[in-house]
Amino acid sequence: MTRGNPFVRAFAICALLIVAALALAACGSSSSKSTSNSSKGNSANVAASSLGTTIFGTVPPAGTPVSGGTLTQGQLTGQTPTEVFPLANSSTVTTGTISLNSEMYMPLFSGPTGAEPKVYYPMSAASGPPVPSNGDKTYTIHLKPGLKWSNGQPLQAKDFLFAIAILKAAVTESPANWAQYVPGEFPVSVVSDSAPNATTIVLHLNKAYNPGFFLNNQLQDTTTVFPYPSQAWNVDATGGPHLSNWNDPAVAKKIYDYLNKQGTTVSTFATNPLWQVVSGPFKLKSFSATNSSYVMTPNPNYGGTPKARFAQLDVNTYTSYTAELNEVKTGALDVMVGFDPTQIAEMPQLKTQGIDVLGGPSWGWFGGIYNFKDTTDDFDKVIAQNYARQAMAYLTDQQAYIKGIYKGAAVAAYGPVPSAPKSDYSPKSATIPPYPYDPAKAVAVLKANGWKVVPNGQSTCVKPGTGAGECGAGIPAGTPFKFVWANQPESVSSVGALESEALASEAKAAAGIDITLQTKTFNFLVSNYSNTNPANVKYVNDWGVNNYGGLFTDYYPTADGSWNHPGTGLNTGSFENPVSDALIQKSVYGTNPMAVINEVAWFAAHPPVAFMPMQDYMIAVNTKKVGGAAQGWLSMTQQQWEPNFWYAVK
Amino acid sequence: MIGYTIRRLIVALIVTIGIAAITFAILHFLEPSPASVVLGTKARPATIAAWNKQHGYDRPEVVQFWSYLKQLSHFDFGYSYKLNQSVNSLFAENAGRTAYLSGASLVLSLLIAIPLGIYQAVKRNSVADYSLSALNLTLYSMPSFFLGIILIQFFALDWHILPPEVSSNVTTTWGAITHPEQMALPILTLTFITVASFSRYMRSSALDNLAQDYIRLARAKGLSERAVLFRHLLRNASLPMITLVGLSIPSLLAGNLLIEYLFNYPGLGLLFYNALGTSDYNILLAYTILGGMLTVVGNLIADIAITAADPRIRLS
Repeated sequence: MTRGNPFVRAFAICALLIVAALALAACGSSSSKSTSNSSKGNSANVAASSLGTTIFGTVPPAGTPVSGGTLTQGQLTGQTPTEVFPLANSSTVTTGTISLNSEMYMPLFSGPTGAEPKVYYPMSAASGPPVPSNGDKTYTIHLKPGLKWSNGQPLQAKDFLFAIAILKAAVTESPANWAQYVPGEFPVSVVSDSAPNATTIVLHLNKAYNPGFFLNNQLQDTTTVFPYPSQAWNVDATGGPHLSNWNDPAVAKKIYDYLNKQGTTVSTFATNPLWQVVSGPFKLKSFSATNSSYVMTPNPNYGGTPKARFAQLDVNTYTSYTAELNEVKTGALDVMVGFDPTQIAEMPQLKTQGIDVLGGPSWGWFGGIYNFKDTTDDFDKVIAQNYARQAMAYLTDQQAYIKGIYKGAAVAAYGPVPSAPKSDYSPKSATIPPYPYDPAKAVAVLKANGWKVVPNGQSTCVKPGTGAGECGAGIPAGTPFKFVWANQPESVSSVGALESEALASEAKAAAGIDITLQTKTFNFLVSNYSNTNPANVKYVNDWGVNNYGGLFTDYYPTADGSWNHPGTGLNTGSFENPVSDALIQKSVYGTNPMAVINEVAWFAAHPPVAFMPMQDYMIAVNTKKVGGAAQGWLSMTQQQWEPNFWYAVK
Repeated sequence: MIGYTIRRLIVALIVTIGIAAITFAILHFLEPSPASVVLGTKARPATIAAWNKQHGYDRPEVVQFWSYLKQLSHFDFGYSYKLNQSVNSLFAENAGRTAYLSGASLVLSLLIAIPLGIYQAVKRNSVADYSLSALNLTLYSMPSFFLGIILIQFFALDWHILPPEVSSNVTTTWGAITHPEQMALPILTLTFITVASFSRYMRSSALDNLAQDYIRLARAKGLSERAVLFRHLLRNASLPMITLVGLSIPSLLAGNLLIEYLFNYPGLGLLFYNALGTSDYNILLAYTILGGMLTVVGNLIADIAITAADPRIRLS
């Protein structure tokens, strides 16, 4: 071909047109769906008090059940199960691990109840809450009679004592060996235990624990506590003898090491006889070491309700939400977990195909963690002042973020617990913002505390001192209100990046607060922008806010470990306050089982974090093929799969 | 020839060590030890230190690298602490599937690209040639994942002819071979992209050869056009294909990361992608080194093969 040849130019243009045409063809349907969604789609969360939460989309209908059949569920690469032994450590505790564990093993205290973060006894091994005595130092737990392991042996009280021995061995070896372990607390807090009969467990603790905390934080937790089959798992080697002296810490350690090794060997998940002894609604039939897809069948000896009605559940692994949704659209996948917010535009089109999308907020909080140790421009002194954090809250327009950034799939969260789902531990103020969006109030509160506010400029402290109307302790005259706000990249967490940009823009324009946005990877933010690790002292002045995401909290939402005792647990920003410490003490060790409500309300009024909306977790269900009780779908908004609620439909 | 091959092998060894050193250094700079990935972020410093000591990550980096090289000399790529398996066994498990995907598309590409290139050369500057050139340029300029998305939209979502992804049940190479409908879209995507590239080379090569004296002689001898093209032109014009096939060897085993990701196909590329997400140290290291090694070996094989195919070429 010759340079300047008119044919070449013509065909180059032709090639470009073909590219454009193909691109339009590929995107055409989604763009048209986008248009239709704006007029017909569900664009906002709807409070549904009867469902105990605020939902986005539609709760899939119950349908007319049919027994038998095979249902399919998706899971994402990276969220697949990595440990089958139900004692996940902090590196194996994925969403998939938690789900697999609770499908195979019956928790002592199961949850949630639909979307609500509370114990659901029909699926629990315990028949009711632990009964405190001896000034809350002793707890008695009653198991349901007649429970069995899949091998026919009875599930008894000593199975839970065996679990405690193994848990103790695990956390004694390393606190990291159990993801939910807080040093000093359960199981180490159990100084002695006994089983006076087959269904009664008595735990003697090292001190008095709040009954609400002990049930809804210690025993019912994110990764849950399960009884273990003491007559099947009491081995420390393949083919080795069954050890009856597992109460001996040295023996328990050997058993733990063996079970943990076996439980993380992906290639033998379904073939290792250890994991064929289950108590939950399902047994593992096969597990692919290649892609972590797996197949489950109902456990006929399951003692909880409901029991699965289908014959088989295929859990297939997908590399992306797009791949998963494509399979739902073609009818090859019945239940998609983790419907992505970018796919919201497709909801009206999906509805016409019989695919319902449901979303609901998780239990916990999202937001930017303030760094109370960042001495750059005396930020540590500035942010220690509650009025400064109030000003930040006044500048945070959560409703606008929910509408514009989250496309409606989020709820407001003004403190450690979101405005939904419903919980007995939510203060009334959870739905009432203590500092509602109002830039004028942000300016007013700064001015009232000795700051010269320069909208679109740089606000500075002009009245140093600790008296009324002055900036506060350690803040010299001329101190600017400025700091670094670190996010994950927009390509990874678009909502986090966009809401940060919006807040930074508003703060600058309205109140002269200079926020420098910085992008770091999730791993970097979690590993390095955390003051709990002494090795991170070199980074302590690099960040004012760490917006890596947030935390899912326990049903009993105390900040114990998070915002007290600096240097331990999750207190990455080094927040401390004697008042909150005292409230946390009452939440954990007090006698009032509802004490945590006061703590939550205090943290909403004195935010240690720039609280942001709580994003919905969404699923998509092919209602032509699968149905189930609303409770089973709603629990998925808490990222808990309960397939025993599902069934094939006519 | 033997001397040349030995020299190239020595260079290949040096290049491989260089790739290993750079990859090792980068990974160690980003994360000096996989301990926190294995033990979790809540692990005590003492536990991390003990783990590092047990697995040799407490030694100076140079010593660690030397140990790693010694391992590599035995073709031992280390251990995946996330999957609790040796990297060798993971590679062995996934390589077959990746080789099938890449191999099938490569063979299909050659079967289409060679006659297509010759056809375009013979019909040069015709409407058919320009049309095919436009199509080839379009496909050539298109990222593979983009073409894949387009094919999924049409073949799976609009026309319901083929599944949009490879089923999760296809976990073995034999499974992939015996489920052609599952493999159709990923193989077609790779084939279209490769045909676009190969046929351009083939067309250029055929055009060069059509102007050669031996073609004129063949025609002057009264050979039929079919005989000229397939007996004389085809063999000579296909020489560049040998180089291209040699350069394709890395992708045969190192995988087609984007295609495997897009089509949910469990091969080496997807293994690498997953390892990125879980910081599975030794898989990342091994995959990168393997890719480098195969590139070097692929070049060498191409050079040797071209001398075998064309006696006029001498390596020195």
